[in-house]
Amino acid sequence: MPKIKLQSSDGETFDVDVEIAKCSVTIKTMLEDLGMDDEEEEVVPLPNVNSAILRKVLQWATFHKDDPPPPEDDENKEKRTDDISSWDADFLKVDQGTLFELILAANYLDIKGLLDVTCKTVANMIKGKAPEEIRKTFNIKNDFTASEEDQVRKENEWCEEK
Amino acid sequence: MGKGKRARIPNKRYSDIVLSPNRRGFKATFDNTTDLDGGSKSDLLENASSGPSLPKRNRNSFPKENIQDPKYFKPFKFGWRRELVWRSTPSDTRKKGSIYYYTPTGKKVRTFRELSDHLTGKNLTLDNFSFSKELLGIDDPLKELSRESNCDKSDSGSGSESPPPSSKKAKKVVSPKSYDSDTSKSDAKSSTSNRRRAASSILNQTSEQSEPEAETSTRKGGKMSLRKGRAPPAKKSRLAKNEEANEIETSASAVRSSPRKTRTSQRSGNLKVTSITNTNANGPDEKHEAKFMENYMQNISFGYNTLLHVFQYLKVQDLLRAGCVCSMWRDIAGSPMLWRTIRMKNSQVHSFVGLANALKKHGTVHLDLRKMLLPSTGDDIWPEFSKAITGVDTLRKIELCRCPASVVEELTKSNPHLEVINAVTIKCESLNLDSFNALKCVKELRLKSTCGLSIKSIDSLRELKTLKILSLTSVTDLHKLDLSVLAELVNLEWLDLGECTDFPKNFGSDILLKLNRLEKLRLEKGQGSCHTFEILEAVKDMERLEQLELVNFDVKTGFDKAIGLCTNIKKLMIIPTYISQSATTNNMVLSGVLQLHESLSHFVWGVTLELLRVTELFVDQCEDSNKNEKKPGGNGDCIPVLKPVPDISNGRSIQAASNPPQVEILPLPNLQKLLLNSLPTTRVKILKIPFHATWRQTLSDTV
Repeated sequence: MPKIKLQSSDGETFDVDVEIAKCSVTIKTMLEDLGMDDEEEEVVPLPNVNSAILRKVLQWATFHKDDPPPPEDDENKEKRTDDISSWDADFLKVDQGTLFELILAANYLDIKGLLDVTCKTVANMIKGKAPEEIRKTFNIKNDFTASEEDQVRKENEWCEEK
Repeated sequence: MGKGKRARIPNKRYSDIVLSPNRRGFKATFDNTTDLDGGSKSDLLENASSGPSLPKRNRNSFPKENIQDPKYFKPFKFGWRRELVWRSTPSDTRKKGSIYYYTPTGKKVRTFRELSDHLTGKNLTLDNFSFSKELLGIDDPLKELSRESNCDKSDSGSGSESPPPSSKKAKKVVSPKSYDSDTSKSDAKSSTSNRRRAASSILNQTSEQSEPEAETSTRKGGKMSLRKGRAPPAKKSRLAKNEEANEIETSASAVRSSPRKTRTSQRSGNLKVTSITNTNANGPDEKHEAKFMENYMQNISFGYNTLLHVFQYLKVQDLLRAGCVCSMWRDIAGSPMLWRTIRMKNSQVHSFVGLANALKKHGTVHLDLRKMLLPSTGDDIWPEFSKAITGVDTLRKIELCRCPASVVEELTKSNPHLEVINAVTIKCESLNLDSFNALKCVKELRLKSTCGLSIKSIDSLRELKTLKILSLTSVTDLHKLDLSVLAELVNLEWLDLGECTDFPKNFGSDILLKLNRLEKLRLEKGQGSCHTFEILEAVKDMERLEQLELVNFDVKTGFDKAIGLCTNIKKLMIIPTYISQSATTNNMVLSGVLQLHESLSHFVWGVTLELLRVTELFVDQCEDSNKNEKKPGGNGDCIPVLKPVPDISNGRSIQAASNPPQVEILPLPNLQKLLLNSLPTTRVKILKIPFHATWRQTLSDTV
């Protein structure tokens, strides 16, 4: 299988199967635009992804290389977060910093599957939590004034779960 | 000694920032190293600079790199130079040295971090460089050079750029007794002024000013303070970290290339070594911080988009709570994109006025109330809903939950702009359609009740020329209504009707054939005297029609020929009624479908559980009466099919039923196999469903 070299922001290069690298639409488009020869040993610099994150991204891409292309977003379909595969769930047992770096990388590299599953994971960290718990989870400061907070609370009290 | 000198802190590679386990390990390494004397400090720092970036190596006993590795010679090919500077200090006669690289453009590089800034091309990586204090042994002074440092003289010169330290303060800080409290205090006191100074000194700094000479003297100072201020506890690192993090924030924009200088330039003398220890432990965070600030606006935009993406996965009550977290979250959670479609599944509404206000505020287009949790108070809530929803004029599409017919009727009056009304769980028995003519833009209308629905007239539908999808099922006396209205809805692409028993004989020719845009047709409950053959006669001539669903239709002798002519149908679902003569029914379905083997892309055959059970009983009886006979097809689900079983695989043609009729018990897997063989280009599915679920089956759900 033809290989490609990806270089992380900190200068580490990774030998990757072209097919695996192409799960990134960014890389795929770049290769197509440049018309790179498969035989050529090209090094693709990825200045926005460091080696640790790139390694994880490639690990994910390798595992999912045979997945069918993710379906287009359907507005009529409810977006679920309970359909994360157990492998992905294990893979994403990382600290928040890494999780957000993965989102950033998935976004930059345009890997829809990875972006979706990482965002679902963050959504699951929000679901079912009270605002104060959410603040704690993500280390967010409550910057509402008392009257603002009161207003937001009033606007929202029409709906509660169960 | 004591003049302000700048300690150089070895920088680390970007990868270290992320790997938190390494970070921890890194800190621990440093906490253990304060016992070492100054002599080994430079080695220590050097190791620290490369150690964590190579996670596989043991950080405490760092193995020597193989300096002869040819990869290290690669930089020379691209015009890099390497320099080893030896120096000795009065307190230690052992030789120590530093490695510098010079870029092809002559820029001096001391650390991997600085190196990475210069490695923009594809040819070299950090792996091609080594800061190991040895000569690579390339005998070319233009490439690699070794020299003794002419140290200590330029001390005062380089020191002058930083403010001279107060020796009193410095002593206090290194004194083990007072260390803890004083670090924080002095940090706090001096932080503001230092920050300013730091920022300005950075602006004046050039890379030339951090010469190795300055470093040498730093080491001397460092050595002493290391001896005195032994083992600074980890706590202090955190204190220092906070202070320094703030400082970076304020000056980061000025810092750009080397945030570390900020710290070191404001600290001085004996303090320095402490700060080296601390800053190394915290280096990654600050590096990260600086990196973050460098792309501040981009990062904010990234955060915004990330949250927007994440919030798409939140249900409405989670979205509302997220909006209470902080003002930025409130604004993002209020994004119209997230409110375009609102689903109330598993949520309970305490106030429909509140719901309506929220929908209005965010411009909701689609409201889905299906499976909403309803209060136990019963139907009292609905008048409030009908009143509140009036104001939501952005609404175009609504899907209702179990509700009285009056809710639907009111909706047509209050929200005439609706394009889609989906009310398939109406609770009442009678529904008045008179007000429906107000729906001037309606494209899709689905009405169904949980029990039989009684409608007086469908005349008001006559004016709904925009209607593309009409589903009117579970209507008990549909045949009594003036169905000719339907023939005028010429834009219909999709029509579901039920119940069809007793439909007039001319339904096919006078109504269906007029609907020449129709693509999908579903007919429910055609039993007894239903004119199935006449309907199929019309169906075969409907040019655009591609999908046909017959649910709970009697399938009688002759059905195979009638359906066999409908070669326009690509997707077919048949759920026959299995009341009597099931074997004949199955023979007819099978034989009819086989005739469509060239045109069908999808075929769904609904078999009721009731039929399977009856068949099982029948088989058991046969066995009882004739115990020696072999069980047909073993255990499992079977259906009876009148012999001979139609089969066109292997070039066979369908034979007429022979006399006397005999029944073959055909196991479902065999039936599936037969269908797959006979219809190689068709997606076939055999549904096993209880009778009460037949109404819910649709082709789009199953294939």
